[in-house]
Amino acid sequence: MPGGQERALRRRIRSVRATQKITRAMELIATSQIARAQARLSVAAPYQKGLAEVLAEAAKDVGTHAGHLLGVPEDPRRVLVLHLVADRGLCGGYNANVLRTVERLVRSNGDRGVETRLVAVGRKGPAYLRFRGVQVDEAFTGFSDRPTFADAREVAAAVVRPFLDGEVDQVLVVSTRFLSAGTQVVEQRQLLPLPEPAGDGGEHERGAAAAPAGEAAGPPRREGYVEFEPAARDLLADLVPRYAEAAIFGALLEAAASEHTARQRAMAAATDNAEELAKNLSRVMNRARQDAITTEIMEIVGGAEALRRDVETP
Amino acid sequence: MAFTATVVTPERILAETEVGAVHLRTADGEAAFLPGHTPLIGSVVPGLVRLEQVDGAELRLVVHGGFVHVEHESVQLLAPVAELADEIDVARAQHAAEAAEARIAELRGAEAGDRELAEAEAALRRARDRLAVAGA
Repeated sequence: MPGGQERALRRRIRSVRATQKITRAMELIATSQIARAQARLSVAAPYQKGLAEVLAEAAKDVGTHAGHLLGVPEDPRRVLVLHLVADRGLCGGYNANVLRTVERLVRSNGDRGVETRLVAVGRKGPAYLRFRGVQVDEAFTGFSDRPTFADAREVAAAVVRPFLDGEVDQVLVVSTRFLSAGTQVVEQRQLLPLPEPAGDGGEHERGAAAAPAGEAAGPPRREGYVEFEPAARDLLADLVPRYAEAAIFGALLEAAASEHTARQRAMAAATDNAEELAKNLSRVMNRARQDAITTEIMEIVGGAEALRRDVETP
Repeated sequence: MAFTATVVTPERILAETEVGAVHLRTADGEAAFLPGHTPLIGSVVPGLVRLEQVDGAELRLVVHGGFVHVEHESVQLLAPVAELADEIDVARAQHAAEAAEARIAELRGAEAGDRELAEAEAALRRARDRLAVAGA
C-alpha cells in the first residue's frame, strides 16, 4: 500500500515537467519572433508614411470634392468590419480581447439597424464568432503570425472591392496595436473612406509656421504647390487600394508582433506556474515517502517489540 | 544640388541613391525628373524605371504600379512591388508568363469570373514587365 501515492505523485510531477518544457520552448520561440516582427514593422513604416504623405497632399488639393472616398461617413448604414486575430491560441487574452470588441460592435450595429459584414484574419475569429451566432462572411487564415505583403494585398482586395462597388459605406478595422514591447491595445479605426489628413498635425503646422518667415526674407517657398499626374481626384481613386493595402499590412504586422508578445507572456506565466506546481508536488511526494518510511519502521519496531515481549513474559 | 532617389516597398527599401535624373512613366506619359523639379505626385505606370546615378551608372528596376512623390531635393518612389533589374529571375518570369497565358486561355474558354481573368492578366503583365526590363 505505501508507495502507491508516491508513484502517482511521481507520475504527475513528470507530466508537469514535460508540459513545462513545451511552454518554455514556446516562450523562447515567441521571444525570437517578437524581434523579427518588430524588425519587419520598422521596415514597412517608410512605405506607409510615404503613402500617407501622398494622401495628405492629394486630399488637400481635392478639398471637399473627394466624394465618398475621404472623410468620415455621417450615417453609415452598411459597415464592413475587418478583424485581425491569431490562428492559434495559447496567447492569453489576445484573441478574446479583439473578438469581444468585434462582437460588441456587431451587436450595437444590429441594435441600430446597421448592417455589418465581417471579414476575419486568423482561424480563431470564425471559431469564436460562429459559436456566438455571429456570421463571418470571409476568412483568411494561415499567416497571422508571419504576414507578407502579398497576404495583405489579398485581404485588402476583399475589403476594398465592396467599398468601391458601393456595397458598404465604411470599412473598419479592429486589431491590436503594437505601441511598444510593453503596451498593446485593441483599437477600432476606420480604414475606408480614407482618413482626412487632419491627424498628421506636426509637419503641416511647422510648414504653416515657416511660411510667413519665408515670405519676409529670401525667395518664396512654393509651399503647398504640388502638381498631380493624373489630377488629384483620379489619383485619389488609385490611392484607395494602395493605401488600404499598406494600412492593412501595417495592421497585420502590428497584430503579429502583439500576438507573439501575448504568447511569450502567456507561456512565461505557464512556465512559472508549472515550476511552482512541480515544486509543491515534490514537497507532497517527499512527505508521502517519509510517511511511508516512518510507517514501515513503526511496523518493524512494533513487530520486534511484540516478539521480545513474547520472549520475556514466560 | 543634391537630389536623392528612394525606392520604397513595404518589405524593404530597394534603393536610396544620389541621382542626376529619374526616368519613368506616369499616368500622363514618359517623365524625367531632374534636380529642382516642381513638387509633383503622380501614379506610376508599371514598367521600367531608370535612375541615373551621379557617378554615371544607371540603376534599372521594374515597378508594378505605385506612386512617385517628387520634391525639390528628392524623388520618392512608392511601389507595392518592385525589383532591381539585376535581381529579376528571367527563367521564373518566363515560366510565370507562360503559366499566365495558359491560364488566360483556359479562363476565356471556361467563361470564368472576371476577377480571375483580371488576376491572370495582371500576372501576365507583371511577368512581361519583368522580362522587358531584364532583357534590355
